[in-house]
Amino acid sequence: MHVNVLLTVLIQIALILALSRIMGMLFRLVQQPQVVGEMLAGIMLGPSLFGLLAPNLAAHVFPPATIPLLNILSQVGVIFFLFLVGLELDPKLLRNRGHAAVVISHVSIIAPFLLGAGLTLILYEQVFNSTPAMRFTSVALFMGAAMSITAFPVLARILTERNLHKTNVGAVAITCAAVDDVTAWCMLAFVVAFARATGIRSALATACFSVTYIIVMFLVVRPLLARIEAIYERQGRLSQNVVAAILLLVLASAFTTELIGIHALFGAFLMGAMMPKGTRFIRHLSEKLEDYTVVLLLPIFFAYTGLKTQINLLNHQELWGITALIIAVACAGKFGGSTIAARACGLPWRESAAIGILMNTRGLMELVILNIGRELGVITDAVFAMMVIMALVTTALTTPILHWVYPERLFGPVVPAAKTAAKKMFSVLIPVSDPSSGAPLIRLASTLAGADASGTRLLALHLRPPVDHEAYRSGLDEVVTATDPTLEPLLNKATEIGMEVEPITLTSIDVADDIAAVARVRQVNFVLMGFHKPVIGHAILGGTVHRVMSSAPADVGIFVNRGLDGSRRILVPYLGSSHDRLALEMASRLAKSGGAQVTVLHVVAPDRSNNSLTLGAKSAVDRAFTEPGQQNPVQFKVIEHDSPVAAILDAAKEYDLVIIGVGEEWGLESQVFGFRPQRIAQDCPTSLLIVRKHAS
Amino acid sequence: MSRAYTVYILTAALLVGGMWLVLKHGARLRAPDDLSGAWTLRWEKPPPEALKTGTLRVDQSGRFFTLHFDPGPALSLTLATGWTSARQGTMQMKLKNDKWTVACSGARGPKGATPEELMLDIHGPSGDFLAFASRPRENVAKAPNLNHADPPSGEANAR
Repeated sequence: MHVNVLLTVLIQIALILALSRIMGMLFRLVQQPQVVGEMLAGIMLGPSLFGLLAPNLAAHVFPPATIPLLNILSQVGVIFFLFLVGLELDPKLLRNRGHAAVVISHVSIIAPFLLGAGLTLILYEQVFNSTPAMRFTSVALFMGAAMSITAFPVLARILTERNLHKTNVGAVAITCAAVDDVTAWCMLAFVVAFARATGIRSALATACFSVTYIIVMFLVVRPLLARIEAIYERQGRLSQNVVAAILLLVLASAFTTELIGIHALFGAFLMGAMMPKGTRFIRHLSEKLEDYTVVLLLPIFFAYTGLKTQINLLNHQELWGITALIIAVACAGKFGGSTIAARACGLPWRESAAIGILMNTRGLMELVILNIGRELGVITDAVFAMMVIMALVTTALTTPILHWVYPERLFGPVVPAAKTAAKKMFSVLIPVSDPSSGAPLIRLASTLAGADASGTRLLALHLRPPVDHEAYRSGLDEVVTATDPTLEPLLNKATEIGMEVEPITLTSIDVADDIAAVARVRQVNFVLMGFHKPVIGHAILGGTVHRVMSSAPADVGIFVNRGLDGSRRILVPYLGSSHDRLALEMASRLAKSGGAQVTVLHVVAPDRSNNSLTLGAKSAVDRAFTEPGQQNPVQFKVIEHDSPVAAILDAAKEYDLVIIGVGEEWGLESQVFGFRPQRIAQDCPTSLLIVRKHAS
Repeated sequence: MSRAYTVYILTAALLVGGMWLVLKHGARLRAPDDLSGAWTLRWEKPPPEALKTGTLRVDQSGRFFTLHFDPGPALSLTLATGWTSARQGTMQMKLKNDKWTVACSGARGPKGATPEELMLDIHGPSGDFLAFASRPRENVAKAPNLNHADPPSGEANAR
């Protein structure tokens, strides 16, 4: 390869990778599947945006000589991606479900297929050309297949991201998507064979070879794969030889189906489907292949697709009208068909609609099919652009419409039945992301809760990002017996100190939002969390902490642990805000249950001491600490100092724990980036509990 | 019979019946002749700025055309009704927008609906022009349609 071509391809891949990650992250921020951003990134790099805005630069970055190289890389990426998709498809998905799921899935293919083929009656004379590849039958079959695809991986990801995977809706949707995938690829193999066939003889030959290939896959390759798995089990690890053998089989299968005339992708998919299911071997194999395929090769496929997508070809109003019609028909077929089928099978309207909208997710699977259609010459470039827009729109619509049709309250954690009792209880939610912070948090929470376990409810929450592998297996009723390792230290400590804790593990794409949601649904009084140094800046009260503080419908405490080993001496700086009063309340709880000595420090400016303020502070302290059973009376100190912050930092040295309310006076207003000094939080020599009273 | 089976049988029947109807009606439909790709131009009555020869790239999606003249403008045009296909012997197509009209005609080529030679009778605000277009001998007719990725069609042989 000429050195300049190599340099150009390296720059292209770097650009594609960077833009795809950025767009993916941006779309995740707005609660969209990452794949929508990645698809859009590909289109942005093509003639529809980059080529339009900077044609010379675009021609320089993507010169024609390198396009075939990108094509090959993208094809290899899609081959391995489809192998992964096949790998994760488990026949158990079908066995586990009743007739309803099978019926819904078949209707969700048949309805859009029929509508897609029917749409060709309107579109054929409008946007198709008279070429041998664009015969009416080929076009109708292709449009039907393209309309009936569901993006199994994207759907699985949406289900896990929204914690829908354990619901009935999720289970039915994932089953339907799995059936759709298998059917759609078989259908596509038929369409490809039909479009490529030059006559009855070649069609018959393709059919015979295809049947032989499938028989060989079942009778020869499948047992061979079981043997390879046995080698893996014997060795106890995934050796490079085993990986090489699997990759060779994938390539051989893809090569065979391409040779037969039913496309290489079908071979890769079928090889994946033939693999043993749900075993450690498969998990290791998919983990090995997934990152490389999904992170590196798929974005190249999106970019290649984008380079072929010319939205500027839609330069007539009528063409945009046709695009809208295609989107409408796609939604009517997939969403309408699945919804009506689900309803006819006895599911409630709302669940039926949720299944319908989930099945309408087309994602990158649609792009794969469209590229095949374009390559076969069954669709024109303009139709390709219209269909890409349809794929983007239907995928992007899924999350917001699902949110509207099937809001979180319908599948969120169950609200305790006795609401009033829950209100009276002191309930603490402890979100944990770092396992090492779990034990100190539960120790503090249990002391805050006190000895009366019946009046206390402790919830430990771990929010984890969705994992692709888990997403694929979301429809299987696999019982997860192992404890969440992140919560394990916390739960062990709770057992040790005799506290009962309810562990909750959920998948989340927005941690702050979901902490607030769980706090709201479970009606907790107090959210107690640790903090992690943010990647950018030094703020303790920034980022997620800031968002939890401002959005949680409960009081919030941020525990900055600096080696707290029993809170015997507690300092509470007090200026009189509601947050300060919460700090007093927390100190009172610790004093009551842990026998701590509490000192309340009221700082006033020199020569400006205000007797009424001081008296007010004193009476607030008395109110907080004059409860029956209070063993250690609080010490109330008033000191004069220019800087309340400096006074507190100076006094803190003598104490084990400082409990302080957020507030301007302490330089502790929560903020996103922490431009304020937050000196107390950063420089306090002892452990710190920063509390914020909920506004209500 | 359970409700699920009923839905299943109804849908399967709908598929068979529906596809039969679609394919039956679709067999009567005619897509416009395929003129997409690169053409070599020979001007008989050239516009003032044009050379004696030039190239033309046609982006076509059914009735919707964009003619890229090189040198010259790009015209977005729509096929008017009443066209005849090269399959019928001679292709006659009138492409129009609100300013320009391009009448294309050509005889049936060896590949049926794709004429190998065209006569372009162009009427527009800057005058009336006449050109003959032919498929280049090099196989650039179906070059990738990337704006920037297209091979320079000017290299194609002029007649």
